[in-house]
Amino acid sequence: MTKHARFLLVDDDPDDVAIFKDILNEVNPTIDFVSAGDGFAALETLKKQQNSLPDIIFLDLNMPRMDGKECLSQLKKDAQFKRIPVIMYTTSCQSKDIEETMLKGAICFITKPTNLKELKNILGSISKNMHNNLEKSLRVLSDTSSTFIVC
Amino acid sequence: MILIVDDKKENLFSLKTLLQLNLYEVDTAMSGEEALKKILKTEYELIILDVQMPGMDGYEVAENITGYSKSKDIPILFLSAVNIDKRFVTKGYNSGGVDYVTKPFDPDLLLLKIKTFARLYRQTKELNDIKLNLEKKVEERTAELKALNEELEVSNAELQQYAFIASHDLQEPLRKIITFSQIVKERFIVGNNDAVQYLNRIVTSSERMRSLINDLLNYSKLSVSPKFVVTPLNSIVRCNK
Repeated sequence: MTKHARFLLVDDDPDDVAIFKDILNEVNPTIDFVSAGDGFAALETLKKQQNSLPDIIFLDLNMPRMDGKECLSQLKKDAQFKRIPVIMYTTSCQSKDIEETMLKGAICFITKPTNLKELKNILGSISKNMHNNLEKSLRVLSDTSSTFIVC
Repeated sequence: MILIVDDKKENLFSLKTLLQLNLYEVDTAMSGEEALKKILKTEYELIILDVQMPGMDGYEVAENITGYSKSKDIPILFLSAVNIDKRFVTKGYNSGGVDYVTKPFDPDLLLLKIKTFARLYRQTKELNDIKLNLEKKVEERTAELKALNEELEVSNAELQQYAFIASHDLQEPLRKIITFSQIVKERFIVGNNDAVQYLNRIVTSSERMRSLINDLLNYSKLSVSPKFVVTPLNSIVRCNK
């Protein structure tokens, strides 16, 4: 059985989770989707699924219990989890958030797109290139997308 | 108050009487040293100096008076029995005197001179006081303005902060309305033209609202000077049709 690719979205907003899951499924139904409501839940989920860690973690910033920046730090401290690429996926577009998260090790900072086409574009590009030149495709996205993306 | 300086008591007495008859307050000193001591303690509007005195002569006293900052503007009138030569008169003026009168003097004329100089000095003093008062007022007003300005800047910064947060929070539900409407439009009502059209209107209105919120946010940034953009009016008219 071929191992399916898996994305983890850490976000406390149920609407955003629903949208992400829906569009991801439309763009690439072979990818498994897992979500967690905050940093704590995310770490627990990862610990329970050590055999099938996600290929990419999408991380929101504003969450209860443990926010995105704290979660990112924890992820990068762990020997296993630190290898998973983290993409910040948030409503913020503030430079201090971008600076902090990039410094902590996120590979990209995406502000949640305000239109559907953008989201499809982003998820499509990422899912196609995740094993192959992900960073390059993210940079292309940041040039062509109207959503605020910094890589 | 006028100060008369002369080492001879008779001269002091006669001049003092003359001045007091004309309702001036008079003080006297019998030497340069005594005069200087008194000047340190009292404000005079005119000093009448005898030139020939033992010890410090009139010229020396005058130089000292003009050297001292508090008294340097007090008019000094020299009185001299001898030393009527041009160079002595010149020396008198150079020591800081405003007039040089030779004895014997005409008391009426002397009185007129004294009146004039005293009046001029008083006017200069008044002007100075007004000037100082004005400067103080200006300083106070400037400080007030500065304080108000700082308050204004603080309140403006708070307003900007608030506007930013408010607009950010307002955009959130809008984003979801737009996204979900687009999903419904693409997936669940294909073929139903009316439904598609209505959903388009929902999306258009929502995007208009987004743009209005953005404009509100930009407008609230009062500290940023507005940039004028060339705007084609035709497109605005078409937009509103």
